Amino acid sequence: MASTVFPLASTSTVVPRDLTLQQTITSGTSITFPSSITWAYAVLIGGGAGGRTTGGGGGGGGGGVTIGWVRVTTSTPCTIGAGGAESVNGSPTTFGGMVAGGGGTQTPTAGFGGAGGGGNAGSAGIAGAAGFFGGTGGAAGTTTAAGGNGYSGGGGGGSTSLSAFAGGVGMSGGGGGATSGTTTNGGAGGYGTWTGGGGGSSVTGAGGAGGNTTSYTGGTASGAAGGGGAGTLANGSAGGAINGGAGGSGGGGGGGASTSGTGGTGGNGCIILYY
Amino acid sequence: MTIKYEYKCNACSHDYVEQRGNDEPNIFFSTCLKCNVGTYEETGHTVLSLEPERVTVEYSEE
Repeated sequence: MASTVFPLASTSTVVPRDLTLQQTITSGTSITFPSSITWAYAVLIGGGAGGRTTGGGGGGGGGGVTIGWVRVTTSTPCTIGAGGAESVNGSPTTFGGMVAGGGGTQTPTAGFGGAGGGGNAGSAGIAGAAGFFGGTGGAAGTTTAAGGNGYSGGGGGGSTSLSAFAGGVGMSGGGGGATSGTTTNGGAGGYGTWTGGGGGSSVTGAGGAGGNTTSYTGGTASGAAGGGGAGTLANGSAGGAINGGAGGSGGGGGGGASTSGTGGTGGNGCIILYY
Repeated sequence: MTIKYEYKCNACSHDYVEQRGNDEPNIFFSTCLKCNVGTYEETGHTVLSLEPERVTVEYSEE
């Protein structure tokens, strides 16, 4: 292995005392531990939501985040939440009794800790969800306001005449709102400590960029569609002329679609294990 | 297909595991997460699960 530095390395961030990153799980239904390990410190990331549909689509919310100690055995079951397709919420990641919900795109609202999706053109965003261990989600952005900040960010509001509004900030970032106004721009995805929201789209202007995370960067908007939000493990993809960018691996929200385009797929969830 | 990839640091022997789909990229580290001196070398991998096999059902209407 070589190349770039992983964000959760003990040398670049402060990890729990005397613990070392030992496993990164992005697939499978169970995790193997050495028999000497009976507890692990786990970071669960739910799947990011897909960007919303054509004609001024809001960005998808970042996947939920749940962190804590877990009792483990040599083979401990898990579920890795898949990222949502266009206009579909992300799926939850589960492990050892903890749950990290998927990001939200539209109703139903996101699962535990999942950020809200940005509003389509002329519509309010979706509120962020409360965390698994508590913490209030950010309020939904209105047609004249950004999504609220909280444990998870609320989705930014969309507009038919103004540039749309950004998603709220949180552990997971809310999706940016979309606009259909003339030469107005989509809202940026909200910053998330672990998962960024997808950017909202425009029709004749520029899409919104995806939200960043602590270690990765959201996708830019190269056209009218929104960029994908960054994930826990990778950057978000750039938005295209009409198709939203995909969310980064580890729960990034997908970018919203412009006219005749397709919303970006949310990034799959993951589990990061220290012991 | 889910595969467990096992790596070991060539300086301090720290073991690190990635469990991911065969079509997913690995997560790169420049140096060991524990000693920050050595680099990881793959020591093995195990196929944990295969995709469900595609089943073709043939029938005729009589």
